[in-house]
Amino acid sequence: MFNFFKNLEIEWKIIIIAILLLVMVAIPLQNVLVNKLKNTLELSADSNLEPLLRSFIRVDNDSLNRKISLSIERNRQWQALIPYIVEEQSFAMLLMAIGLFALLFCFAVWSLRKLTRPLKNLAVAADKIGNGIDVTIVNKEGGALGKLEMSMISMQKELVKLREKAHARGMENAWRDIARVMAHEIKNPLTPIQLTLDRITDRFDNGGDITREEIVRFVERISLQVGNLERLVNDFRSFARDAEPSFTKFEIGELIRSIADDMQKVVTTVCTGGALVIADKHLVNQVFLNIWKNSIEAGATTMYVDVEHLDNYAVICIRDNGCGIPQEHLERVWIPYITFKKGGTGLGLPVVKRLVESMNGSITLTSSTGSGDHGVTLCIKLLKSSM
Amino acid sequence: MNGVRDGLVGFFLFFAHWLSPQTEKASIGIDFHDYRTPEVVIFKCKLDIGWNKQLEQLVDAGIPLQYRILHFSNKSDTVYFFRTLNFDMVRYTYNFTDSNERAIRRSKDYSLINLALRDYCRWEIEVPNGASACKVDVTIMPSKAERLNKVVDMSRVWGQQRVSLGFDPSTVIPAQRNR
Repeated sequence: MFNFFKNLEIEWKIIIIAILLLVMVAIPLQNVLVNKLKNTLELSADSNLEPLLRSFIRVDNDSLNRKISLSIERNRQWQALIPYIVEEQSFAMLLMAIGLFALLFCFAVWSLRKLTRPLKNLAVAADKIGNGIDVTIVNKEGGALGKLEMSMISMQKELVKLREKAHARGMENAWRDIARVMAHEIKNPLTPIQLTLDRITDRFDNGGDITREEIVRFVERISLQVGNLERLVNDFRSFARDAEPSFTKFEIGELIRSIADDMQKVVTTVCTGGALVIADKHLVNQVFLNIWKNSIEAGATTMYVDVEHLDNYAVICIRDNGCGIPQEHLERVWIPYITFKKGGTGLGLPVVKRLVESMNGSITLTSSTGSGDHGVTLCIKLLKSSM
Repeated sequence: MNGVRDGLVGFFLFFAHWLSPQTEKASIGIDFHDYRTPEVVIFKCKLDIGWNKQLEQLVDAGIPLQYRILHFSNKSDTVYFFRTLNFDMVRYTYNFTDSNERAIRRSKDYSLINLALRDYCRWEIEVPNGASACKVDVTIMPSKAERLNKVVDMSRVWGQQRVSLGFDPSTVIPAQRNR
């Protein structure tokens, strides 16, 4: 009960206190006071006065008789009117108590308008500001409430400045990270290319000949590294570019089976179920190719694909039997440039996530690295076609 | 002789009032009396006042009991007067007065309240012959306790503010007396 009262708004507290005051204090107090008044007034009426006065009436003295009669009349009127006087006082006290209750009620209404509502509005505004939503706070009130509004306005301005600074700093840091990683990634393939070219130059400088097989080997080596550079550039371009999906309806099961056919030399794919989805077929193809590539690189030999229906979505769960991702790395797989495999760019899964979300879908990843059960499971939700 | 007669009548009225059930609600009774002229009919009105102890105590304390009595019909204007029951503390008698803007009339003195009430609650009205609707209205007025300079709302004591009666005069006039 105490907690219930504590959680009430102030205007309700005032009303409850007013009702309690009226019922438990004012009305009983009024009864007590009225009874006391009645007793006092009844004591003041002397029933022996009239006989006493009558005993002074003289037949031969009209003037005295008149005065005595007036006194008797006054005494009688007083006795007769005592109940009505007490009733009037009782009514007046009750009116005062009700008036006090009405005053408290009006105060409760005033506090609702002038305190509770403005405070609630400020609380809602503070919540929105905390969530980054732009809110206009107007300084309408005076006194302490007005000062609070002013403080919130200046706090909001400070927060905006801090956010802008943080954003700028974050952007700067992000660019630095990208530049650092790009430099590192570009350097990796450039080094073998440079080494190969240095070997060719050294051979020639030392007067040696290069055989045809060696030239083929050197060219292959350089081509491999150029391919790595190209892949790096493509991944970066995919990640940097805003995906602009072009939505069409297509059967997801058929697409998966066609990818499975293309990959059958490297990995076996078992696909069950199907659904008609609304998405960009090209982007979905790219997503699946990325996933298959990752699984193959992780040593998977079999891919299990289940297509299920959940409300308005088709859920495509792809499970491989690769080496899996350790639990401590799981939450970082979506961060760009974080990679746990040799030669990786760290952009594969971030690109996949970006593409899926651009098609109003979602993706989740789970993994296990146990001896009997290892692999990664990716579940992608895409919008189903209603037809 | 008159005193003895008044005393006996008062005694019987007291017992009648004591034995009869307490009527909370007042009412008006109407009865044909006579033709003043062929054009004017006199009706007798009787107010069953619903007398109670509190009213008696107030009247005995010298606080007058006043009613405004008015009547009108579809063939006449409103006629009203104030009837006030008083207790004379010097002479220890009751009397009542009828007053309006034209005249004041005082009754005789009564030694007992019941005797005074019997006449206090009866009056006559004149209604044009041929009127088909008539209304009699009795309203209690506030009274002043002179010695205490206080106005008392007598309707709270009486239990009601007013009582009225509407009637068709032609239905009250006995058939053989119709002219």
